[in-house]
Amino acid sequence: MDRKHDGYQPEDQEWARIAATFLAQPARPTATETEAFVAKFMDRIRPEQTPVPEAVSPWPWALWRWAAPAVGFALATSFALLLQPGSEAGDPAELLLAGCEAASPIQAASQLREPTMDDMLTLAMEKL
Amino acid sequence: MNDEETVARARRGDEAAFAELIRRHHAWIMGLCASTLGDRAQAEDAAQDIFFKAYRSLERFQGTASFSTWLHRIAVNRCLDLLRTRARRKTESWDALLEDEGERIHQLLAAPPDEERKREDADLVARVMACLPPAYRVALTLREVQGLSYAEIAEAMACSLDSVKARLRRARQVFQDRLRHLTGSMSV
Repeated sequence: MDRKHDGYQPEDQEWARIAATFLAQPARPTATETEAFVAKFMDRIRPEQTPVPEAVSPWPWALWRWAAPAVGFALATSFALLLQPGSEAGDPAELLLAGCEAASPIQAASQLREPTMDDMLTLAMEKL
Repeated sequence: MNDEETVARARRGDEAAFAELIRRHHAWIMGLCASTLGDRAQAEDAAQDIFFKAYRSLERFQGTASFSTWLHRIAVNRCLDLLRTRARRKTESWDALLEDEGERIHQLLAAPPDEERKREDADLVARVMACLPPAYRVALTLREVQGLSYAEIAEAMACSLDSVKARLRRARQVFQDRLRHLTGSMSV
């Protein structure tokens, strides 16, 4: 059936020449080319059809709903405690290290905390 | 088995049915892509994309239009996308082409078209066609190469019948105007 029989006839010879030159029917694919095309297409869609196994979580979803906020709260609390300003005595380990750098035992002792009467007596006895 | 039955089987997951649909429609899809894009390798890639899109969208095909018309629409959209992307990247002006290849184009128009000339001058033909706006190029291909009626072109390009007629009229006018002084010496 001539699909062009709906009012248009290529009576214009100039247009007919242009169309024949630039709008010619390209070569039809051979049966081999079509089969190769089909094979290539099937290779493309086959990976899509292979079901990917879902990752199975060892934890049931319901447990995660409650565990995740609880774990988060625990972590936040721990973090806050670590950041809390220390006691007047300070971190004992840090203070001990600071004491080693002191010029004298008295300085080292004083860096730890306010010297008590016991401290003074102890130092005096050492000097004896 | 007609397209309707084959599509129904393909929608149920029958791979062989979709392969059969490809075999039936491969030739004209490749023809449309090759004529529109002007490059066989690009045409093959585009044709693969078109069938892939059809495969992925098969569930949405409602059957109100024929499968062929639906596939035409996917093909036209794909070709237009590719032409527009190409047009954004590189544009050889018609004047520059005429200046460089005017003589060759004249010889091309003067000589009767045969298979050997088509192969030799395929690149020149592609460059001439590339100077046309994408929508004109696709409309002319659907009409002159594929032989579609105005109504079928309107369905494929998702526009009205009047738009198709106007677009084709304008496309021919542009093409003829550009080549007029080359075709003038050949008129009978």
